[in-house]
Amino acid sequence: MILEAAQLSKWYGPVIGVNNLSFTIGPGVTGFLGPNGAGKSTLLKLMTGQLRPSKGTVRIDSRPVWNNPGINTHLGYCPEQDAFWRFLTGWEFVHGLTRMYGFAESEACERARSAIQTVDMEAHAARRIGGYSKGMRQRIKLAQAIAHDPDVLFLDEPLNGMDPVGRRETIRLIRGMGRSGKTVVVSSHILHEVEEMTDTILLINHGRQLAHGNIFEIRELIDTHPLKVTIRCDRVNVLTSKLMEFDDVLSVEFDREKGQLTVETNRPGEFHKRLPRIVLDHDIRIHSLWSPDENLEAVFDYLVR
Amino acid sequence: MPIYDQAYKPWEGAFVTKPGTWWVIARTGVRTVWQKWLILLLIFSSFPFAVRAVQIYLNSRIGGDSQFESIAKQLEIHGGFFEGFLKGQGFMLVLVLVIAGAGLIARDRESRALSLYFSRPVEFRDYVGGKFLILAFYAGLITLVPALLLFVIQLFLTGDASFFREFYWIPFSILGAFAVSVAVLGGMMLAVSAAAGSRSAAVVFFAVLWFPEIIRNILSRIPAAGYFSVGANLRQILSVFFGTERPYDFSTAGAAGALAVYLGISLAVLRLRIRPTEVIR
Repeated sequence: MILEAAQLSKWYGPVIGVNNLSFTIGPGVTGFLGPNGAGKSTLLKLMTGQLRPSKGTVRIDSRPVWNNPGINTHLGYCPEQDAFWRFLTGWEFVHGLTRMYGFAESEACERARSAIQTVDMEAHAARRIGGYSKGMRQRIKLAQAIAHDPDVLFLDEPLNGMDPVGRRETIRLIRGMGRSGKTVVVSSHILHEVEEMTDTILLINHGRQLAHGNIFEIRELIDTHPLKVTIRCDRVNVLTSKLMEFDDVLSVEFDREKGQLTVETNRPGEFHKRLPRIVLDHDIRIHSLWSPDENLEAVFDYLVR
Repeated sequence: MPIYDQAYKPWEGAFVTKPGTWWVIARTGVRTVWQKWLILLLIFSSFPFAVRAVQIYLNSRIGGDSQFESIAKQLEIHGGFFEGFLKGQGFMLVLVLVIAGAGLIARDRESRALSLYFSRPVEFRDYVGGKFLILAFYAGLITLVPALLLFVIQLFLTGDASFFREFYWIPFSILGAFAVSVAVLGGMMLAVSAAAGSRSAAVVFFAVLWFPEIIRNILSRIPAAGYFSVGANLRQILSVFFGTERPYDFSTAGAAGALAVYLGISLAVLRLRIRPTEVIR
């Protein structure tokens, strides 16, 4: 199924949630990537017909999503926030929600059982959701989204709170759905999570579309982004003078009180290869090293500029 | 099969769906509410029903006896008897609606489950209709069912068709009175549940019902003040259904109009509050 957004905007009074987005998504996995508050969840709610667009349209196979509950038969939605009746068991939760697609009792049971099995929750299905861990709640939420075998699946931060095994299994499941011809949209603010699921991403920040396409192309943009590295060490003067000798080092800020320097380089890879050699040759003791730029928000800031 | 060997397996069966998500919502809700012992206690300890049943029995025994003429007159079974029963169940009806209905929508809102309902082929009318049926089911158990049962008992104890010939319309009146009462009170309960939290919905519902009643009592010299009271309007309409004397001086059409306004406000509140996504500004 083809998902199509055309000049899609959503504003809440003076606040813009989503700003004039236009894109087309085909079968396979597509990642909606953006920092917290970028507008990913708003976009997913617009695409599942839960919010009315202020402007523009969302269509699935040329059919409008807003005010068209019939199309929900083909959609699966796993919200970011917990949406549970805590007094229900996992089984009651998935089975009850599956029944709402209009399946007969026996078929709903079969589908719910299959979905619970797929997310590996059979052992806990008889327990009340109120007693589940965060990772288990994520899995059971995922089960209710896939039980009816939707053609289009929307997953809002599906890996939040999952343990490493759960993450790996869920990533495998999502990739499998993509390979089987489903249109899967996954939102996340963690770049490497999305990278493990798909090559196709839509970058969003402040409700605006920054980039849409192959992740490697976008990654290249990120790699040429000047990187700031902050180093706390002894012999700060020596390290500063040595680093200044290289062309890729654009600036060095020196903070004597804190005993640290912040280096800006436009070739982060080379910088990181070179640094250990300098440190060893000049007997410099490094206490800490971090980059204030190595997060999505910094990358997005760069892309916006 | 080890977990790491599992992958997504598409459903291989046919995609056969039946319409009527309201039915699923109603059925699930009825089952959930059934687990509340208090509501079962209220339903199965119906003292007024027992009293009325005894009245029917006594009437059948001494009804034709001229020796007990004055008592027999008091025990007479007619439209007013059934109206009296339904009015007597009014407080119980409100209690049942509160116990069954306070959390019906409030809990869905609090647990953000509305987004799950509306990501399925569920429309507003399915959701509200399903929730309303839950209330109608429990309201029926303490009003409609016992009232119809009393009618059947009376038919059996009369022993001939004379009662039925004269009062064949009573089951329809019971049904009509039930439909109006539950539509208005049930609609209001759902609206309050949608507007307030699950803990405060009961208090708000009692306040919405009885605060106007207090005002009506204070302004008792002004008949039109009765329009503010849901209870007074319902009692006025009930008397029409059972062909008895009007309890209040205000117009019956006005009472019907006032109830329609209450129902309209309830629907407007439901429309406003039942949304898949809560927008926090």
